[in-house]
Amino acid sequence: MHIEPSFRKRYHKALSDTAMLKAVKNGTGRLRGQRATAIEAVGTERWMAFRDRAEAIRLHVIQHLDQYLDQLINNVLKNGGHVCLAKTGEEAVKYISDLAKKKNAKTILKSKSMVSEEIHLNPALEKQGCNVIESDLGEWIIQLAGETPSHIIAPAMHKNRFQVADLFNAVSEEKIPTEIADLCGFARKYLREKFLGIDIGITGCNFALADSGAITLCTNEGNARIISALSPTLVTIMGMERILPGLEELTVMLSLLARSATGQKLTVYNTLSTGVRNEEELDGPQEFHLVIVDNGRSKQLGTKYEKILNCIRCGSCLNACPVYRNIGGHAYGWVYPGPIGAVLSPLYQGMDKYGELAYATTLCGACTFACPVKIPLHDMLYALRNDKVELEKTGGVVEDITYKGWSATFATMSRYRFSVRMARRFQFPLVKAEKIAYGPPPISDWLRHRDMPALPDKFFHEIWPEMDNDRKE
Amino acid sequence: MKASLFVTCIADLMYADVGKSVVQVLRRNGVELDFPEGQTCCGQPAFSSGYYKETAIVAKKMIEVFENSEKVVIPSGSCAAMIHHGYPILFENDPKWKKRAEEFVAKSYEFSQFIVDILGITDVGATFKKKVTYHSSCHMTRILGVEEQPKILLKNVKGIDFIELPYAFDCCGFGGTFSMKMADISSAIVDEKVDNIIATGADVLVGSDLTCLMNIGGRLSRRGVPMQVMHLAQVLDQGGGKNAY
Repeated sequence: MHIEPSFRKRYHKALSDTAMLKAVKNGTGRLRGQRATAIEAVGTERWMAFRDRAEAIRLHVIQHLDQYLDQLINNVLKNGGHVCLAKTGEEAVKYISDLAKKKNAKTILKSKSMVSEEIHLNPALEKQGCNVIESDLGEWIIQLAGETPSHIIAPAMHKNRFQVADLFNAVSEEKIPTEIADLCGFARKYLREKFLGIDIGITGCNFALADSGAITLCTNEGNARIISALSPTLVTIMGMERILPGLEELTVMLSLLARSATGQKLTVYNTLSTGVRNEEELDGPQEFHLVIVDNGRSKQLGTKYEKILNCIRCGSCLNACPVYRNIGGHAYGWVYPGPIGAVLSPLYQGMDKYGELAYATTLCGACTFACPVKIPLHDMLYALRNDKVELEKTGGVVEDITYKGWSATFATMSRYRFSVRMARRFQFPLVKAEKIAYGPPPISDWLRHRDMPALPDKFFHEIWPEMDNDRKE
Repeated sequence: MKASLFVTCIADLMYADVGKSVVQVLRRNGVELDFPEGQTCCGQPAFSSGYYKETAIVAKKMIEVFENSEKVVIPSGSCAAMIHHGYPILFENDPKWKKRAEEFVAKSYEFSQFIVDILGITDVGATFKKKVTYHSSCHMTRILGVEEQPKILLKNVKGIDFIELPYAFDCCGFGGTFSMKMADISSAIVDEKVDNIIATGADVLVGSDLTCLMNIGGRLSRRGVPMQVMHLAQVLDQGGGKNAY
């Protein structure tokens, strides 16, 4: 999928895609409605206490990440698994590609993994002749479409059932009706057969438990469980921050994750797998590889953005975000969209490439309040804007001039009053029927969609002396 | 009770009537109000754009201007939120100014918050026989935590027909410079808001943030929707008896 480098062009394309926008509004609307109902059932106060607990767990893990990584790796090795600690996405891709070569793997089945999207794993494996099949329904849909996910937990949210039927019909021998049940039925039948011929299975990881080396997989389709049971060689890819100390913490996070993501009390299939099968066990992999990916994460440690590593990828901030709901996920450009993407993308991939995303927000704060682990997302968006100004020494030429002039004017009453009076005196060529009718950019951008009142005959500071004098008399 | 009015730049320059109504309502309810000279803007536009140094210059000035005020009343949720949440961030590494900022924060109140929480008044004695709905602005509810106070005041206005706005807590799409920088996205968001407002069948849209109201009102007017847009203070100023000045 070609990605247009200009954010402006990307979101303009999105704004004109009515089918996509309708699907995204339906999808986000449903998810946030379900989440609200779930929180109501728990009670707001208890929910807030839940969030506090979850935040404390995540903060603790991130502050002791080295210890927990060490513990996790030791336990995975003890359980008979292999571990790759990849500094970059390329390193992770190389490790898995080499493994596939060594195993002479033809068929690779995957369950949902955002990290695998982040490191562009599929194209690399396909290039060396592997048949990579996504087994998560949404991921399979976008794989058929040759696209990337547009939502963290619902990757094909941007597609409607008619578009999905077209994609399925392209691989089906018989024509499939556009009813959702029929579409799901077809996907189930088609993918079930694939599970029987796995050479390598690849899963993501919701949480890795340090004290046991167990990998937790949460799906509503059970596909990750099948893969972890039926793959002779199993690979799990995880972001290096996705660790919890143990089961006790997992119980908190699982109930929070499901409620935040979809409004469920619990995801349907929660699988804990310790990797390689024991001698007396009938299924489970003969070989297990845990690929732990850094790819920009460790450089957030100890910075003001450290809390971004709290994220459990529930997608709740996307559904809450008015910008996401109106442009969808692809416009953001990188794999993580919405508010979390607007913070992660510049932090992981660089300000030069994704700095613009920090401005793709109204700063309404809905994301921060939707976040189950209390990441102050909108504070981080402010901070990123400040970084741009401080570190790059500019927030844009127009902005630099505007705000330097603004502070020089607004810090002194006489200058403020003089300049606003001048603006009022000279606004007349732009005014029509008490409204601003024309203006230079950026006012013209405002005026494309909205009216703007003209400056009135009297400012409040000119009226006040009358009000004050009347009072005194 | 004595209090100082921080009218905000938007009310000062574009909506002087709102400033007048604020004065009327507060005076009628026993507040001895002054208007400290030198006040201009809380600094939100520059702060939101990442220009913290430039913001700090103006913020320091505002802290000085209101240094001798007992209480400061601000008819804008987001400006009050800027002081409460933004000023401590601005002066994070400047202990002297941080302390002064905190003192400013401690005595600053949004208009409806001041009336309900400080004056302890829930009925200001206004009469307004219209069907109204209320837009809850983002920073006022989420950052400042003032949610119920404006609605309590509205519901106690005689003759008013108050209708809850669906998705009242959704952003109107203004977002300061966002409304110009990414005007097309902003417009899509405000259209959702406008659709929800129209669905209430209200005659008047009420809010506590003039910039949100300028955005929503500007879109209503552009779409030709004949709806009155008022700041809470203007509604509370209706039918409240003689001029208080």
